[in-house]
Amino acid sequence: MRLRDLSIKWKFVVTIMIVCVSAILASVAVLFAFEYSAMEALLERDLESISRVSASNCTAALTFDDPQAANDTLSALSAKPAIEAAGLYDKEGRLFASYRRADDKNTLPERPGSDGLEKASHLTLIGPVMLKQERIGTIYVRSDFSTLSNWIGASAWVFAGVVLATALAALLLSSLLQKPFLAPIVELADIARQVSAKKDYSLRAAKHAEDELGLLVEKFNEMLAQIQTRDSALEQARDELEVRVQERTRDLQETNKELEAFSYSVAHDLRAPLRGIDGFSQVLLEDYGPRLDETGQEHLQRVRSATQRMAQLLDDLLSRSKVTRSTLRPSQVDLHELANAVLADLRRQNPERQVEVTVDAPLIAKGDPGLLRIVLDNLLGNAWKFTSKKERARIEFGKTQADGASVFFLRDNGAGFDMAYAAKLFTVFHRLHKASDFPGTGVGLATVQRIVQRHGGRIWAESALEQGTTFYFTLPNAEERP
Amino acid sequence: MRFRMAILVFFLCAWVSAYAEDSLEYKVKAGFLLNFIKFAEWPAAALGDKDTPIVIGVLGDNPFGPLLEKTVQNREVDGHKVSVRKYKQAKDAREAHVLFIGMKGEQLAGALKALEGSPTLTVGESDAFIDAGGMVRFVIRDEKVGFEINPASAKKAGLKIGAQLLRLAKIVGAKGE
Repeated sequence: MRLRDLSIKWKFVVTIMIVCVSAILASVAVLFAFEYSAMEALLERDLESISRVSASNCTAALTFDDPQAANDTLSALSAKPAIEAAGLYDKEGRLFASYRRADDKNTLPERPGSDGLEKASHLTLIGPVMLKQERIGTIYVRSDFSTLSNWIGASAWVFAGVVLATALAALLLSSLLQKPFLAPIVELADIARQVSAKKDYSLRAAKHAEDELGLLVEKFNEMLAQIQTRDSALEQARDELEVRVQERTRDLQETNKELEAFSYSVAHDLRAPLRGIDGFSQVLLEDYGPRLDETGQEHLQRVRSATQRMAQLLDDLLSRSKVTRSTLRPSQVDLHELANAVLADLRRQNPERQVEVTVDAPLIAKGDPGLLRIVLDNLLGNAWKFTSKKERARIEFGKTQADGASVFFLRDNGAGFDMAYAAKLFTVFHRLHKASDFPGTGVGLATVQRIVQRHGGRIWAESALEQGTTFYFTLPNAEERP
Repeated sequence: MRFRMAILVFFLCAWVSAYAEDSLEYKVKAGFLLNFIKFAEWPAAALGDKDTPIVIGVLGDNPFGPLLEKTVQNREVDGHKVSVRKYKQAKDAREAHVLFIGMKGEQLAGALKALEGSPTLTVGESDAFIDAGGMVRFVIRDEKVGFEINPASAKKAGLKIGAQLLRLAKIVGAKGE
């Protein structure tokens, strides 16, 4: 996690801590430097007093030529662990007595140098041994810096402790002090998060003070209130719209049903008088035919054929109505067998026709067998009809793949149609050919489309004038068997 | 003739060496007498001003010969000149600051008696010197010159003997004290 992604609370705490710790580090550094130089001066003064005391204690020994006593005196320096070595030199500069710390590796100089303090890897002090204002010898004292380094070691711990304690205090205080500053912001962020997560615009942040943060909270709440108002208005509008759509849909469905019922009853009721017309015109033709002249007979024939066409039209309308109203009962159907049955019927009706028929086997589909029979009746019937004027009629029924799905196709080499009118192909009562060329009611393809759609499928056609037509349809419920 | 000469030379050498040994010992002792001054403290009245010399006296036998004068020559202690005087009578020697007493027995006891109450540092080398009431006695230890000090008798005379000096000496007391 990067520092800038930290929560504002931790940013505050970290900032305070950085400020406090750097301030204390600076003070500690200054204090350390000051103390260090003081310690150094103290060390030098200490060495000076040690050498002076030692010198004064050795005056008699030096005067009375008693090196043993001087050695004894100097050996008292072992109480000062920092002293590495000390030497007492007589007036002529000869080494008279000496002391060396057990671990001291350096030797004492054979002759003392000039008086003074020398600071190098050791602290060396050379001074006079005075007796009654007369110089009677020289003292040499060498000290290491262990006093200083021990002090550094000890004070480093103290300073580290101080820095650590300050950091902890800063952490504690800043996490206590951040509350009045940051609690409103944190709360605001929390509310914003909740609003975004729950989409609940009724939440409000609490205002703590009349400062900039208070203003921010106030404006935030105002914004939430506005969103809430707009949201509820929107919701209301949507609900109203939905209700309206439902009402409309229900109206439409009712109207549609009424229309269907109306057309069904019209078709059904029109059949009875039509049967009367047909029956009586037949009786008229049979019983009174010889008494009518040729023109009268012809007119009567026309009445009959018109009646029969109308009966056919009413049958088609009724069957279409049935397709719409009946419930679907799907099962496994072999379209191959179904097609052969339809073709057998067609051959019986027109035994004189020579049609080259290819049907793939098997063509398993899932659907309502009665309705699928109507589909094939219409499509094969159309193909049979529109190839009637071809010398070598061909009909092909099979299955292919398109867009990764199984598609049934039915191809003929019949009259075909202009693709410009393809959109009107499945419209009820709409015909692309003259009734005199090819008889028909204009209901069949509309019925076929209705059935395919009720199976969840799609139907379309490709054609060109005099080039034949191919119908494609899908039955999504179709299940293939190996 | 030649033989006699050889004997003579031999004796001469022996005498010279004996004297030389003797003179080294007393040269050291003469130095000590001078150095005692540096570690002893007299009452202010006994020292007087800077012009008053500090007197090292010799009472009785003088084993130093000219060595003492030679040692003291041109020496100053704390601004005072140092001079050597020889005394026949103990009562005359009361003016001396340091007094070497070359006496024994009754004679010594009498001399010390006569010096009583005087701030004089008495130094001797006879065996009974301390018992007789003397303050500092030269002794020979490990072939080196050392000394014994009786701080009590020095204190009685109003003298202070520096701790430095006491550390080098063997501290003794007079019999019966």
